[in-house]
Amino acid sequence: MTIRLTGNKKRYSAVILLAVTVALTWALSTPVATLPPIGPLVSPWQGFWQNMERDGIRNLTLNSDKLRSTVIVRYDERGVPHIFADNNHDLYFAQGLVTARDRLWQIDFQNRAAAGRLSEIVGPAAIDYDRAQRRLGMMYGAEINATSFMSDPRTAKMVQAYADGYNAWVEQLRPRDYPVEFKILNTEPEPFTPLNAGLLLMNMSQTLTSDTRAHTQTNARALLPEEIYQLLYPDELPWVDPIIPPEQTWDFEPIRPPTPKPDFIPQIVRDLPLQDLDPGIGSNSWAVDGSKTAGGYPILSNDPHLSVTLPSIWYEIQLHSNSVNGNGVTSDGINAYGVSLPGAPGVIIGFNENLAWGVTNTGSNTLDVFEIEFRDNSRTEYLHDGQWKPVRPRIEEIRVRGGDTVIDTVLYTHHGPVTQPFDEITAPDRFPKGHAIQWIAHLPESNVLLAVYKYNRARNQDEFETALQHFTNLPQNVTYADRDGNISIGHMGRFPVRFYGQGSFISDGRDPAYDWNKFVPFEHLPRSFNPERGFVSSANQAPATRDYPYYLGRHYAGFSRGARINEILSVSNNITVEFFEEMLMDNFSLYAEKILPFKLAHLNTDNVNYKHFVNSLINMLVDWDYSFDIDSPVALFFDTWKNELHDMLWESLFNEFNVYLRRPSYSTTFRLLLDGDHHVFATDVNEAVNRSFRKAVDDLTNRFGDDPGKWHYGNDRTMRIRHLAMLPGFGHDQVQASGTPEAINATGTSHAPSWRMIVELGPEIRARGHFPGGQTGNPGHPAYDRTLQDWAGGTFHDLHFWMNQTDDTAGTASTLTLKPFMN
Amino acid sequence: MMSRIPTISSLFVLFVLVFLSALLLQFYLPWWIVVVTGFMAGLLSTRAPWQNFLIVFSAIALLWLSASAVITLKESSVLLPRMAGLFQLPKPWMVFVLTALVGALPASLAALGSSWLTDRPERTEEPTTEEPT
Repeated sequence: MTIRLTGNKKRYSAVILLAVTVALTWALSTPVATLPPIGPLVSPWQGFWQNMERDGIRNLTLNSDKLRSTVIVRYDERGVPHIFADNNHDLYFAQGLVTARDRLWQIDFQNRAAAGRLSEIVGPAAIDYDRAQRRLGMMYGAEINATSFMSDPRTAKMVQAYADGYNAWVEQLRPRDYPVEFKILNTEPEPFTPLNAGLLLMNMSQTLTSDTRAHTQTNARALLPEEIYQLLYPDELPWVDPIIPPEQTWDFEPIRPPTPKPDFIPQIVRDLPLQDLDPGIGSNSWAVDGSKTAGGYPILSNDPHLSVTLPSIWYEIQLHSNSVNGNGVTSDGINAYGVSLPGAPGVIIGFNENLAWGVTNTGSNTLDVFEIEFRDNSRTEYLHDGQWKPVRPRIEEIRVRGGDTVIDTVLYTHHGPVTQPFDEITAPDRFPKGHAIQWIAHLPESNVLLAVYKYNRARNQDEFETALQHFTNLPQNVTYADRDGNISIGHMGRFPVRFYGQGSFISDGRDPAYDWNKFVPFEHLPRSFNPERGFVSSANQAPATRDYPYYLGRHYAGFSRGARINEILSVSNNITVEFFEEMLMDNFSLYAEKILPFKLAHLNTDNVNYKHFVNSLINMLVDWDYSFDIDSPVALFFDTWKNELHDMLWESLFNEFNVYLRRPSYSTTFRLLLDGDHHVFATDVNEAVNRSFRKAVDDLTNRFGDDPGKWHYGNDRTMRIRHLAMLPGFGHDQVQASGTPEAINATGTSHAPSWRMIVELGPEIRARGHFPGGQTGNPGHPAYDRTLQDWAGGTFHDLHFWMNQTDDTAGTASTLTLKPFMN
Repeated sequence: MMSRIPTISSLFVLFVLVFLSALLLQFYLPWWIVVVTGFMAGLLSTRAPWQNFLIVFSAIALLWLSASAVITLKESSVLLPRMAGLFQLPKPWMVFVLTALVGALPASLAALGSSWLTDRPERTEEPTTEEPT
């Protein structure tokens, strides 16, 4: 049955229908809440379909009037660009361009996230995040860093060329060519400026150096009896083998730190919620000299552990420039290979024709929290060194998509910004209300990019050392090996000269003794050159024993990874690259070896239900090799039991306090258990061992069935790789991977080895490596997540290190040619 | 005036014209040009409104389906499951259906509306399939 429409009535209906159609079309073109505009997004001519790419990389020729001569970029079969340029300017121009080609959205989004500008994209939901970023001084620090590297002609040219190349790529894109995430989030790429390189450094600093335990340690020291406090938070963690061999002596006269006024007792911090930060950021790096290797050449290895996301954090690249000028070849030529950070020029971790280097995070105090006394509630002046000094306000304007601009005034003392407002918590994982911070990332006249520029070009140990002097405001342990046969390690950075304990608790903002005035001289930093034992290593543990004359911090990584690495290296000889491949994938946990026998010995199974089941579980635990292998039935059970026990041992003591206290580390807890210091636990240890066992059994049987023989670590545990913007479907929710944060293969739930690299420094450099994800950041390209499997399974690839533009021409999968405009 | 505008009476011609004009225009204009195409088709067609609706719907749906299918076959399909995840669709192939609907539905509604808007005498000469009321 149809209704026949006639005359005005029909026109009336037509107008209504057309109005509905216009409204529908409008709705499909407009973002609704967090949903992208569907029409342009699904249009085959504009939308995500345009981002589908076949495998491989297209040959391409581009012109730019900013180039001085032709640049050839040879992509190998894994999509690694090998840039061959005549001069440094063109080299970094090409690096900016090829990185933008593969990672444009990632760089754009990282910059906005670092700067606290996500509200511009996602609306009011990100205001608190943005405020917290601004209050941490991310933009402030990016400006300081940009000023530093733009004041040196080498880094200024490097950054500007990188920016020009990046922008040249963006300018030739049509909107339909924009990476798919721009379409989904309804944004457009912004031009790259030197400030963006500063933001990238701040982003890395936030990840690596912005943690502090000052407030939780202040609370613990104030609330716990002195004896208990020392047992729970010892100056040195048990069983740690420090980075610098203990026999090393320190023959220099250290700079004396100032003495603080004795009467300062920081206030207990009551206003932060009870939560611990996600552990897992760490890294391993080691190098052995020729005496320990099969070939007689040094071999270096490095695996930085970071939050593993897609697109990948790292971008593999080779940079080659003869740096020819009017007079011929100059000394600032370069042939370096390794991984770069999208958004910064140069090779961060890698090797060149003469030497290789790796980095791990230091864990030393790099951010201090200061109690500030303001003169009055106007907070325009604060007390320091007996004088009222002016507060510098910095106005932060946060633009909000679909909302009003938020204005936040951040107060700066000479220490640094007040990160948490006075009357509210904007970032629960940060610092106490009304306190100021001093953060190494804000140090002026620090030019980490100059270190990168120089060590990429270093030809020997002396030149490498010179380069490291610029490695100041992003401290790292740097491992080194060269073709002359040298190995070394150093705890590099611009560390303040501290009195004992300074920075590990809340500091007195009034007392100049807490100021960062003097710094540990480069020559006094913890270093080890060609040690007797034939190897150097670091796994974020303490840099040196208490004999080292400077106080740098006390919250370093536990013993497990570092001791395991040193144990293997000290007994191994005839080492090969392949041996290190296996070692990097080592899932053995010294934690488990340390504590499982104790727990099993205290288990009482007389009265448990399901006796048969429990006995077979215990037998499996007894037979377990302490390896967190993908097919281990008991690894997840051990972890669950360990966590339950930790909670039960500490909950009665810590539940007394209604303030934020970080619980003692696992290794400290293990030591207390093993050494019989059981009185510190406000609970019965035997009972806790048995109760936590039963709880873990209940938990795992509920989740994975009551046959432990069928449990499977790889299937059962959570290893998740998220998309950088957490777009559903663009990451991987269940990754099958062995490892645990306490094994060398430190694959946790979201943090993991983000790049594994092994370099043998023989007559010809031989290097192997892999990282999770892919070179391309395009989710529509088959290589976007291709290397995940190889990464999880321990399959390494040859890193093709080409000596010149025509070396191994068969290895070229495709070519990008960049030509200057011919006049 | 009205009579000088050429009209279309063949369903096949209408289909081909809608398909081709939408195809060409989309190389240069935003996605909603298919809605304008549908609107014009309804204005110029002499056929019954529901016929215009169906022709425009099927022409645009086929156009968007075939374009997305050609791209998928020529390039790669790895983005399909990701987009399905984003749209919370249980199967990747549903992304094709979604795509076809987003293009075809507003375009064909525009055609229906513009058909109703015109009140050409020729239209009454068309055979009707109406049931007696």
